[in-house]
Order: sequence, then structure tokens, then C-alpha cells
Amino acid sequence: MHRNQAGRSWTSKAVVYTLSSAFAGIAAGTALGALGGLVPLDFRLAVGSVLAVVAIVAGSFELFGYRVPLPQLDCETPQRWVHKGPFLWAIQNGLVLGFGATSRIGFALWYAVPVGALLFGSPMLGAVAYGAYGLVRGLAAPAILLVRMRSKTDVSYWLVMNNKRARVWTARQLLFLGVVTAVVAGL
Amino acid sequence: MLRLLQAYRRDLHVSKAGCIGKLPGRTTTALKVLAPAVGLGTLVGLVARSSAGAGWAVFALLVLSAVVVAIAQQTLP
Repeated sequence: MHRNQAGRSWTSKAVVYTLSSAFAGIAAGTALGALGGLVPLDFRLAVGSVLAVVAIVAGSFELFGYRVPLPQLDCETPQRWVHKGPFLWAIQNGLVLGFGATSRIGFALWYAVPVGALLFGSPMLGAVAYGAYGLVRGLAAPAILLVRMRSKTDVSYWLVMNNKRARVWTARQLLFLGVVTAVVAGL
Repeated sequence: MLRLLQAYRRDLHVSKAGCIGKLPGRTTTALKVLAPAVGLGTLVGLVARSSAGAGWAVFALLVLSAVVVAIAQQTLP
């Protein structure tokens, strides 16, 4: 295969993967927002206030180095998907990672995304919040590959090495989100 | 001997790299992170509450959280 053709093929697969991931997030956020809209606002505010306290406690625990057990499915994407062709594989992988709930969840902050989309009770706001997750999750893989190709350095190894730092950042963000929500809710 | 040492460390709940003497340092570091987050969160919450855009402030934080956690998920081994 010609070098430019290979590059174009890689780019189109990356675009398909990213779009699939963003689509999964938007679809999940829309569904959750619509579902939340069926619940009365007072009830959603009450649940949000309780969950804000949970977020403060969980964020503080994580900051002090305690691992909060996270309920999750933690399913690997099936190996047989590879044999379905690169485009179908990219679409399926993108959909699964953009949705996120069936793959590995490493941080308590993740739960804020679907719960927030549900509690806002608006399909549009849910789509924006969850879609942002899906889009950034999808963009990360081609970004890592691009940096690896350009700088010839293994970015994925560097990312794994910074897992502890990411844990602190997510814990701080969870705590911050919890405090702001609690104050706004009037706790 | 090594296994005995490992068992001894496990019983004490002390990590290989760390030791008992390092624990207060870790707590201090956590407090240094915790205090500004709580302080800034309270301030942002109060400002948002006094204005009309309280819901939007929480929503903006939710979107930021989504971006942060999407990047953080890439650090999983």
C-alpha cells in the first residue's frame, strides 16, 4: 500500500472511532436527560443534594489515599470484533468507550457524568455533558497515536505512569463539584 | 526471609515504598489539596447562588468533570 493511502486509512478510522465515541455519549446523555425529565424537580434536587454530600465524602477519601470501591461491569471489548473489519471494529470500540458504563471505570468522578445528565432532566444538557465525555474519550486515542508518530515517544506509558496524579485531579474535581452543588442546593 | 518481610509489611499495612514516618506527610499533602478545593468550591457556590446562573455553574462544572475524567481514564493500565 502507498504510504499516503495508509495514512488516509488510519485517519478515517480514527475519525470514525471518535465520532462513534461522541455519538455514544450524546445518545446516552439524551436518554438519561429525557428519563430525568420525567422525575419531579423537587425530587431531583433532593437526590442531587444527598449525592453532593456523597461526592464530598468520596472525593475526600480518594484524596487521603483510600480507594473507594466502584461498582462496575469492567468488560473487555470482545476479541472477535477485530475480525469484523477495521471500520466496524472502530465503530463498536468507539461506541463502547464513549458510553463508558460497560468498560473499566477507574475514578469515582465518572459517576458524576451519567448521574448529572439524569438529574439535570434535560435531553439537551445531558447530551452536552455526556457527549463531552464521549468526544474527549474518543479524541484521546488518535491524539496519543499522533504524538507517538510525531515525537517517537510512548505517550501511553507516560499516561499510565501518571495514574496517581490523575487520581488526585479527579478526586479534587469530585470534591469541588460536590461542594459547589451542596452550596447551591442550600445545604 | 523476603517472604517474612513481606508478610510483616502486610500485617503493618505499610507499603514497600513508604513507611510509617511518611504517613503524616501524605495527610498534610491531602489537606493542602482538600482545603483550597473546599474553600474555592464554597466561594464559587456562594457567588453562583447569589446570581441567576446557579444551575449553569453546576452544569459547567459537570462538563468540566466529564472532560477531566475522560482524560484520566486514559491513565488506566
